[in-house]
Amino acid sequence: MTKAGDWQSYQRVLLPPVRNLHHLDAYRAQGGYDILRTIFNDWKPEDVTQCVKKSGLRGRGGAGFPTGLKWSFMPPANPAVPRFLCCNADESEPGTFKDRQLMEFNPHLIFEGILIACFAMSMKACYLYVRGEFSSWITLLERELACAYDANLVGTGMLGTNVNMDIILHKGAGAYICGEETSLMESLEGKRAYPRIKPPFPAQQGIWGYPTTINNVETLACVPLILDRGADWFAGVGAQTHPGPILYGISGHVNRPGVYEYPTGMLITDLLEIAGSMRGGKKLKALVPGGASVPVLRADMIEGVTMDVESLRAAGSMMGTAGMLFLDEDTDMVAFLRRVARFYHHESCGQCTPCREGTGWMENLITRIDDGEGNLRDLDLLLDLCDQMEGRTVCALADAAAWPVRNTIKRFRNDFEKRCRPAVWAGVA
Amino acid sequence: MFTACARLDAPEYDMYGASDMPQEALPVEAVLAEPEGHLNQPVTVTGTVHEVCQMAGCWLMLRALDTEAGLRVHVARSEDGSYAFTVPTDISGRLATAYGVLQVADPDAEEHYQADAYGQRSGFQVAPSFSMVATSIRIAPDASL
Repeated sequence: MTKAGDWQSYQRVLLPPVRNLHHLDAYRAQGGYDILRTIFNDWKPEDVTQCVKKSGLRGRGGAGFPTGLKWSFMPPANPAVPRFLCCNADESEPGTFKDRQLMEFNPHLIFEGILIACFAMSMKACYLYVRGEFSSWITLLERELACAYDANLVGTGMLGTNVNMDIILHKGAGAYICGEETSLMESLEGKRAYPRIKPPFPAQQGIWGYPTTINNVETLACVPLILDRGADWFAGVGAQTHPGPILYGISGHVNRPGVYEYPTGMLITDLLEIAGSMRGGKKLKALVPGGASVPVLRADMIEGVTMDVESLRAAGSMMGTAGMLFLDEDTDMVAFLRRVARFYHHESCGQCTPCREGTGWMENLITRIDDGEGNLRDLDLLLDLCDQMEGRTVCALADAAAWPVRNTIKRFRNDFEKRCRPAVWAGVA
Repeated sequence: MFTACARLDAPEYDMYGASDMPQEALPVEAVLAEPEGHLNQPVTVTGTVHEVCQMAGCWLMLRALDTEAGLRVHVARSEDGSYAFTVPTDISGRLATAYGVLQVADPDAEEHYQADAYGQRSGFQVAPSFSMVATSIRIAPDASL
């Protein structure tokens, strides 16, 4: 038995197999918004936060911070001071596409989660910041949000109570950096999306300078399930230290790529089997387990590793967004890393010199190696570059750019050395 | 009048991290005297701040009275290493209360922490045996003001 328990009989709850669930009527027919009414009538805000804390829910956006604890960072409510929730739907990490599925197939679960979180933190407004390229999903969200307003589920006097809350849909403009919480806030305020220096943290000074909490789409979608089924139910699903249902976005050289909902703590090998194994019967060469920014694992490193924070940390990687990229034996790791480096160079906002310059030099050096023009010393230069970037910038983009470079070179050094020109020693032809 | 009321209502303590800290706190001396009973468990500890990380405010050292022993209190971090909150770097000498999980300190990281506290060290000779990952830290007002 793995940490995921009896996953073969797992029943999907985030993306249940219900026809037209994205329509309000179908969602309500499944008991949608019932728990919201119960909470408004019978719960205290602090009890909701305690329940989420007890459930052990960790953020699903990549950082994996305990959600209930994050909510408790908000200062005590003061009616004179507005406070905001922000739902981060700026899903742009390469290899990550699970929030998009929730927006398409279960948008009201997101709205309900937002409203419960707003109640728990005594907020009256939530900004739903959606990636600009998700135009068709934005249209769908706008339509369903309008339905929720019409049904008095959002807005003034919600569900016949005296509770008032608004959800404001905000479209991004295609910058990856806006997924970083402080640059997202800058973008919302109409400014250039430069990450802010912390402190002050968003819970102290967030959107428009007011206390703000930012949560990922999938994180908030878990909230109604926790409140409806109980914290103990959630804590009992999957890995003990990182519990709950989770959406695995599986891509790469597998037969059936897609989004799969299972408990946390699934064996990577089981997930590979679920995705139809490697395409063309080829062997697995590498795995990126949580989106492009997390350290890559060699095939020999994944045996017995489960998809949870502890197990992946012990294996030398991170859970990230659970966007799993499987690469087969034919993969050119230099070309793979070149593509990753190009992405981070393109998406660096340019505010901090180590990131602005470092990502560019990273791409240049890897390109040189990929083109067969690199020297062996370029590998050490790249690792030195990683040292100069990590932890030296306002936000984590530089770290996210450096981790895959450092670990891909470290774990596939032979692949890189083969592409470099042999060392030429002084005096030797 | 209105200003006066506002001042009276102002919180006496500065709160960092979660606002719901348990009220009962143990002195750092008591925790360090019998650490086994608290190891890997949440505990609220109070003591005087001896050192603070001058680089980021990501840790502080609570020192036990009349001894060289201390407890290094780290702020909670995300999986990607980012800090959930930080504390001001000028709180040495003030009374602090921290709530978090007690654990065995990492002796290999001691040199790094000593460097981070550079300029503020005052003869703290003994590397702490225990540390804490705090989810909330409460700092008492500066008595000298």
